[in-house]
Amino acid sequence: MKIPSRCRRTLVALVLAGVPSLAVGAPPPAVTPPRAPAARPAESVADGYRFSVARVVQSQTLSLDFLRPDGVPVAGTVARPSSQLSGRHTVQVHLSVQPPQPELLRNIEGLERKVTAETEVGTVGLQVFFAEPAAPGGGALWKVGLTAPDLGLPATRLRQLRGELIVWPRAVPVRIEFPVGGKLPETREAEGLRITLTQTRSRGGLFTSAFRMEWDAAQNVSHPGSDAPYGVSALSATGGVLIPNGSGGDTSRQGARMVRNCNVLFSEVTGAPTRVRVEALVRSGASRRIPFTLPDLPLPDQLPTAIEADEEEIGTGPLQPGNALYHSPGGTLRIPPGYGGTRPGEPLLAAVSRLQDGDRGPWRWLEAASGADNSALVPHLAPGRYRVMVLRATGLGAGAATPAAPVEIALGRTSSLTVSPAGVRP
Amino acid sequence: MSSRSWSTRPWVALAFAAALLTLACGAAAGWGAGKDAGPEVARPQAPAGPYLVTIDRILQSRVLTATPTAPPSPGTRFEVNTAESRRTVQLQLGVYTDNRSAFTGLASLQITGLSAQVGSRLVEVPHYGGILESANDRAALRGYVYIQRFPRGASEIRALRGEIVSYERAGSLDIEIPLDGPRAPAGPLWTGEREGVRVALVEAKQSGAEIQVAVDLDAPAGTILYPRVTDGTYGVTLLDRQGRGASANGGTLTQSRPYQLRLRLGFSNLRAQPGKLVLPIAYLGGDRHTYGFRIERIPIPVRPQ
Repeated sequence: MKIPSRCRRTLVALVLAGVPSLAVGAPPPAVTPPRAPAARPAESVADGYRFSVARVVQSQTLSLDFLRPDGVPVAGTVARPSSQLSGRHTVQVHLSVQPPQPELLRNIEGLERKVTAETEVGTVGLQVFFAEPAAPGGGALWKVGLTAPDLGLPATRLRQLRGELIVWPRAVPVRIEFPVGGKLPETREAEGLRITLTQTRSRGGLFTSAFRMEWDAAQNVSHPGSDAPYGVSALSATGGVLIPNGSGGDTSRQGARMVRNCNVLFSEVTGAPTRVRVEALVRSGASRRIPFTLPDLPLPDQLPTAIEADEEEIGTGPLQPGNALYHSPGGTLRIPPGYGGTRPGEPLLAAVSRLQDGDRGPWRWLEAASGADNSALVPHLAPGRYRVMVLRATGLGAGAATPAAPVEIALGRTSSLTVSPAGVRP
Repeated sequence: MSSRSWSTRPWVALAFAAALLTLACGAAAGWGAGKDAGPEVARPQAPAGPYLVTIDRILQSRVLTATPTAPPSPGTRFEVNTAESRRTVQLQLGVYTDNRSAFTGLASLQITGLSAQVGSRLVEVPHYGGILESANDRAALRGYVYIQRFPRGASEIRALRGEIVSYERAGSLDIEIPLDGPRAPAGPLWTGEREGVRVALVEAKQSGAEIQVAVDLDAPAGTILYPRVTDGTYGVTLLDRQGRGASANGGTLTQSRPYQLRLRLGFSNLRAQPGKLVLPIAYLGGDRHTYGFRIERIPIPVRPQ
């Protein structure tokens, strides 16, 4: 009797139990030495605007397939089938743009579509996958994410990353409010933006409003820094701001004018709003393109130090150049004498985890140096927010680390752990 | 193979995951920019008794993030000189044999260890895996091993160790149980035997168009019984007297010993008096063989530069 292959496979159990890391032998080392070191500024300045690389994320998916041109191998054969390497290589470049004056931040509209870079395999195009709008009155940097989704496997660096920043000479935030219940349609205008409230309706906890917005086609109108679609919100009698739950609309060019018809829906509204508000950023004048070219950007796998994320490193010594957290001059972490029950002056290890963009970095154990007042110091720490645990160096493996405490490391300053938790057992 | 209660859902999930994995890998293989024959690499493989265990695909995914040593802020310069890396590796294995009885008698493949060289040390690497389903395949089995965090600095898997368990005999049965015949006055409602497998209908409760049944299967010790279908119905069909099938609502399978099964199943939309149950069952039996194998030096793909 024959068992269909399908059911046989259901029986066959592939038992693949995980095991903890364990040293089992000591063959000769075969670690690839680091490649071209490439510590260099990743920024350029054009027309007073500073373009900085804030982050580069490289993704590689490589597949090594063993082909079977000669059919299915059988036991005992010494087949040497051909192999084929294939894969995908993508990169994301996060750029920060600092205008010459902070107030010019809102004048930045974005990047022109064509952003390119040279690689070993030719010119690649990069696409914008996010652009953080310039919030009215907030932030000193404009941020944009670029991605090259198909980089070519052999590429090792992005040379001459070029683009153009669109900047307007004038940018004015506009806020227009309409009373609810007045005669419609009602039109108001500011900075050349003409808004007509055409309809409001309130029924059974639902409130809807419809607008027509018009502006000169030579202007640029956006609604940055607002969660509200089309910048529309509503105000309750008590001054509370309501954000729409739904919206719809279209924008079209009609001669020399841009026209946008839109409507928004507010649900679960208790009591009809007293006013509706439209917020917009109106850019005008003759926009210009500021071309920029970044210096050669090595891809992350070409950098001298590649540290596995989430990897805990124990006993790596003091913080030194090459460590991802090393920065000169950086800031200094101070562990006060007796912190967490430690003895003043005794060798300590500090585990530090940097918080970046909301992500917690891996724990890295660093030897702390002795300070003049019996404190322990970790100098040259890159500025930023950290979580810190402390462990007696002599008690490694037997003692317990202190609970993680937050600390902010600032450039050129010494930041002391202020909490003195229990947890280190002598 | 140890005694176990076979439950359908994990297998369904496993098959689904395997299908996704296959798709993902297929997509990876077809992605345009990266076609490169690269240097010729011999397929890592090792014999295991009448079987040949091969590595058919090695897939590495790596994400590296480079950030400046200080966050960009007005008036400060910064340098990008370090990167963080996360690397996963997946191996796709195939088990082949030209021996027909070995092909059908394959019972299990177990990966017992996987080591990588890091600097001067060999470290055991945590991993997990599962079955890869592939229709019309001449492989006796396909599976995958997934390493969620491949060690830094390791460029190859030094050794993958495992074993195959197979049985001398294998077969399948379609057991028919009449539901409309005379009932025994005591004990099971119906009993029978097929090729040494004793079958007992221990429960059949009908309520309108719905019916619940329970069946016990008992084979000689040393045999492994299992349903040929692993979806929620275990492939069991219930036909009315006109030969029309009822809707299977699923059920449970309990396996207290490898050679004993109890199936408890529900059916609905019964349009006439119940006629019979049909159970597709498979078995393995005879001598049990264990074949160890060790595949050395499995390379991790490196992008050409």
